[in-house]
Amino acid sequence: MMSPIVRTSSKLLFPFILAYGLYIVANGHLTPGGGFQGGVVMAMAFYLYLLSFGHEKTEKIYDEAKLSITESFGSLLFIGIAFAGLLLGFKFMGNWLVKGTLFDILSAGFMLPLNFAIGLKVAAGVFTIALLFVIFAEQAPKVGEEKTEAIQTGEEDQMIE
Amino acid sequence: MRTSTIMNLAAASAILMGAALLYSLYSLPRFGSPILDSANYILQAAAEKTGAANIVCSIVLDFRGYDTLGEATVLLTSVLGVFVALAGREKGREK
Repeated sequence: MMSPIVRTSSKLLFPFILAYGLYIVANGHLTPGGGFQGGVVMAMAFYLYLLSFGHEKTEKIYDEAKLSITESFGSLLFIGIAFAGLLLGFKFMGNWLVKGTLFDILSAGFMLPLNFAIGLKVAAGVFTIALLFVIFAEQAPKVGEEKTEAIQTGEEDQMIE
Repeated sequence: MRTSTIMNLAAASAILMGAALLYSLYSLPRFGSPILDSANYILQAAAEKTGAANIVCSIVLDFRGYDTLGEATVLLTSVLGVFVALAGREKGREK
């Protein structure tokens, strides 16, 4: 739990970082970016919230079950779009949507929905890894506490015997 | 087999493989010769075949889309691996 200044500014910054990540994902077929890069930026919005509020408050909103469902949904959406090409007469992962004019936002066939699926999956996955590390770090024994001393006395007894 | 025999065999096969790879250096194209055939084809045909302005994205999602499926699976596996590696977090929470 950080100071009120950090908590307030992280609450203010959260939608802007999320919108910036969505912009990178949505313009993946026009500018550098795409699903993987934008997904990591979207995960960083949630990670800012996690760092300033602690993992107990974050787990009330985004617990591990919801994140796991989101990530699996993104993966299934990717496979579903690729499979739909097979059902519609193209090959597996054939480009089955309309290819519009160059430099339009609605061009390049199925790349836009595919980028969104990958962005969802990467955001959920990266945030899950970060959440697990924060939970693990807050329970590790600190240096110089009683736990390490107890281990040392136990070893001494066995060596004497 | 004894350990020394196995290690001798391993050393001999490694030297043989190294010699064969060195011999294959003769058939590489000259340094600075023009671009590979497949890369040339992608550069010419990406804009009209896929309709995307970003050629890297068209390679990742259209020409080599199957590898992106594998990459997404690797992400899933890495999250699973972190779950397993940090299994000690449950003990702390139950306290």
